[in-house]
Amino acid sequence: MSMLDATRAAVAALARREGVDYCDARFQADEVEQLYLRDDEVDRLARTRRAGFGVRVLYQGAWGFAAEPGAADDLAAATRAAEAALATARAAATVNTVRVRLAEEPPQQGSFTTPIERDPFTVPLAEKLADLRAVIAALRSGADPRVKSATARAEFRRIDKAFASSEGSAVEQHLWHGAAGMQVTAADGDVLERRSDPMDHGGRVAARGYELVGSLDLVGRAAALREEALALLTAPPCPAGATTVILVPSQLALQIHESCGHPTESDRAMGEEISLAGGSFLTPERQGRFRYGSVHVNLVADALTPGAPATHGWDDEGVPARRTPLVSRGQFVGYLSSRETAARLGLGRSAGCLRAENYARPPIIRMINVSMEPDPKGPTLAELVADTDDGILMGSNKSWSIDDLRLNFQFGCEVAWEIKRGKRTRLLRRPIYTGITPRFWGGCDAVGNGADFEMHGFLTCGKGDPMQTMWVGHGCPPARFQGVEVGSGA
Amino acid sequence: MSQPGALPLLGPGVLLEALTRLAREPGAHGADELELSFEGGVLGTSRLARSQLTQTGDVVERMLRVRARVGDRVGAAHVASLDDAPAAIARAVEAARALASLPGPAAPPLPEPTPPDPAGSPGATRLATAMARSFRGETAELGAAGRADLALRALAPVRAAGCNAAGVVAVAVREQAVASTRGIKSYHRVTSAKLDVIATRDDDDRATGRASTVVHDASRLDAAVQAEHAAETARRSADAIVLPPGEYDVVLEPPAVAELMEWLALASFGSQGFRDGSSCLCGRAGEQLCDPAITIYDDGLDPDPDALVTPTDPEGVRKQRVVLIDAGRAGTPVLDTAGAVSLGHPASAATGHAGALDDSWALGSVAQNLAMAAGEDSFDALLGRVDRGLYIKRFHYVNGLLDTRRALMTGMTRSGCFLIEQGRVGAPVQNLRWTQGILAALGRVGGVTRQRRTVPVWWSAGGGILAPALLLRRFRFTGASSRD
Repeated sequence: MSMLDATRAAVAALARREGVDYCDARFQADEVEQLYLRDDEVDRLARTRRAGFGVRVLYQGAWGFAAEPGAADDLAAATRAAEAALATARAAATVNTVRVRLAEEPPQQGSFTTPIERDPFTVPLAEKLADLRAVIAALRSGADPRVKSATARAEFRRIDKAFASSEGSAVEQHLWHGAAGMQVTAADGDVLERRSDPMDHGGRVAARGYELVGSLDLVGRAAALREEALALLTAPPCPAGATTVILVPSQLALQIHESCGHPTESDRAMGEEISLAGGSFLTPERQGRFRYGSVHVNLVADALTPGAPATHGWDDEGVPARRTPLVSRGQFVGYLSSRETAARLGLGRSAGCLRAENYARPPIIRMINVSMEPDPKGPTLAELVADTDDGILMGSNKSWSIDDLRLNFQFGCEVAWEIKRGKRTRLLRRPIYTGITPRFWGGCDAVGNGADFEMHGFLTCGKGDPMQTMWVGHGCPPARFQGVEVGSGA
Repeated sequence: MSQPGALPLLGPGVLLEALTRLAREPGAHGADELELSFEGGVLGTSRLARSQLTQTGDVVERMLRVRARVGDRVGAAHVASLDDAPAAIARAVEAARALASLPGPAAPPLPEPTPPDPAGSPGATRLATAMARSFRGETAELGAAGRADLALRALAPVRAAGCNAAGVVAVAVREQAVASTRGIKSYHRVTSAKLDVIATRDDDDRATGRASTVVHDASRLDAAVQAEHAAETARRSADAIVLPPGEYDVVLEPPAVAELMEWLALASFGSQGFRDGSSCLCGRAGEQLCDPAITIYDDGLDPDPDALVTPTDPEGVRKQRVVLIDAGRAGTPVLDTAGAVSLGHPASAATGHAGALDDSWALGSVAQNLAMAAGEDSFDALLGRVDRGLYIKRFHYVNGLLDTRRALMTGMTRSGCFLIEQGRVGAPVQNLRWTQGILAALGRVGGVTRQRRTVPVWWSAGGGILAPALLLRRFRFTGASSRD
């Protein structure tokens, strides 16, 4: 029996029922391993496997969803999920007055597998633990009593999916994700500082196998990270005022996530996430006619970039991976969308962004890889600093907050450096900056070239009710912004 | 699922028989000890947006965690089915053996059974009351049609007020069972019903109101009254004025207070913040941190009829009442077994605060039944003490990681912010950003209400925080929102 059989059977049975406009079924099996070490202790060593069926049905224009755990060949579980989904859709149809319609999408067939070099689940556990222990040892070397804690972590996922729809789609996917990183905490009295590498939020996230861990050279970078954390203990707080700010990718990725990724989600723009995270200032009438940022700002959504966290073959309603411009030369031009929102907004086709965390969650519009394009004629990071007379360079996200329309934000970083006359000078601690999204991006006067481009990502972007976490990607070069309010929150 | 009497709960008989049988013979699997912990149930959700039900779902989820001790190491594995328990045991044993190849301290012992309280004792009564109160059969069987009915009752007043409605009706029924070689054998089940209604004026999309609650017993939800509250706030929020940043006295409704407590818990109330020294309580036990009017505790067996209860944690350890801030003085953290040992306590010092099995990101112990003690004031008394300030219904997107030792946080106001002048609520105010050390703010308390409300938390379908309203002096606002 193939992984697709039970999903096909559930869809075939449901599609025949009176009033069913559309239905699809997804089998999803997730294998996750989390290895988190703290000093000489194990914070988490967990291997989790969960599998089951999630079925969606559109009944008289109203959605229903249900999910049941089960193995790929558990037709009874798939059938129970189908029946329950129909029951929930029927209940919704008694309330709704507006019928959902879907944008056209040709039926899909095929399979997709993330290319990886080394299957992390075949790497001996003792080897993985020893690799992380070496990172801890490197962070701890020097025995400075002000180093309070060192952590190293890695996480691996294999996701097997089968998707079938009443329109004839039948696709299989085998997706891989890896994440790895380290963090050191230093304290002196009541002053406590942390540094993370490649960034907090799980470290570097990528569609890669175990080869990711070695590629990061965490051991080789540990000493510098520790020394930076120690130096921050006596660094002055970031001064308050308006200034020029350079953001490096370990912070700019978060800026893109919060102030471009979320507001371009079309479900938010249409009010469907009001009950939790809020709406968006990028309302439908602004598409194509609203200045989001300066002409240097180009942001795209794609699920095609090799190795990026959200790269896949199809989204969770069978829309093939594609590339969609969101902001072109500063102009807001596109949305992250699904077949439903594409039809409602007249977008023509879905951008392929409907994704579910696991079998037990309905697919909702999620970021894929939302990235800032480098400027081929732009500067390197070193040139960008050299070209800045007076400013602050910030990196590595520490705190994040933005209002319900994604306008007023305040982000904090782990580290900053003062820039004077084209040179990095003092280290500054607890930097925060704040702004209004389009004004902030409007102040972008330089975007780096590809030399310093980094693809980051997050494993735990939260959205939906019930809450779903999702892996998303954000690639970017460094960029410079004028007239930014900064401070330390003191 | 949606049919009465068809709940997909496995029940205490099936679960405890299966888990106990496996835990009894660890040697058969190459382990010295085993602990099997199960959580599962069904979550029914109906989401509203634009006055339509945009998402409805009934999902069945199950999770079994196996912890295996081999020598002085403990390995763990999670699976989604009891049928996969043997495979999970094998993986847990493999993990324990792999850990043995590395240097490091012995793993904490697996928990011992909680000694039973004598029949008729206050402890036994508290437990029995909590067990009885936490599960309602009618709530468990509400189904998609019942949720749709609640949604319809919420929609009518919102539409009548010239607003569109968003929100959610979420009903969960969950069971938890634990068995171990050491003799733990526990089972409980819980129902919860959450109703969250947001009204947005048709003629001003910045004018919103919100009312939300979570209860064990769905019959306590009054959808129409809740919706009217949300619509009334939206009605009063049109044509908001802009206020300059600065310090204002604030009267915070329970949802705003609860969000501050949530971030205090995340950053400071668990064992993790004590291990690395980042908690605002760490090293300050007994020290006066804030106003004596502030007491924050966590109590899974809270007898308050509005509190949500959870008798035991996923380690099978009975929930204890832990006072985190006691009349303004720093208290002690909530603990799971590993957290207790890592802080130098015996494993028996665990307070029943291990995180949920399906919580893939939280580390260490978690305060999940938070409450702030009630005060003596009426809500109107708080307003009456303010010459010029702000009445704030709730916050949005708070982040409490700026400086956790000071509990420095930032966030926005949302869905109801009004000027208070001479003790009266007046003009609506455009949303404001604040950046404030919360310990300092809780040191300037002007009043605490007698009445408390249970506020749903965003990270759990059935979780909630019991909070009063507060008057805080000189709260620091650092920016205003704007259209663009």
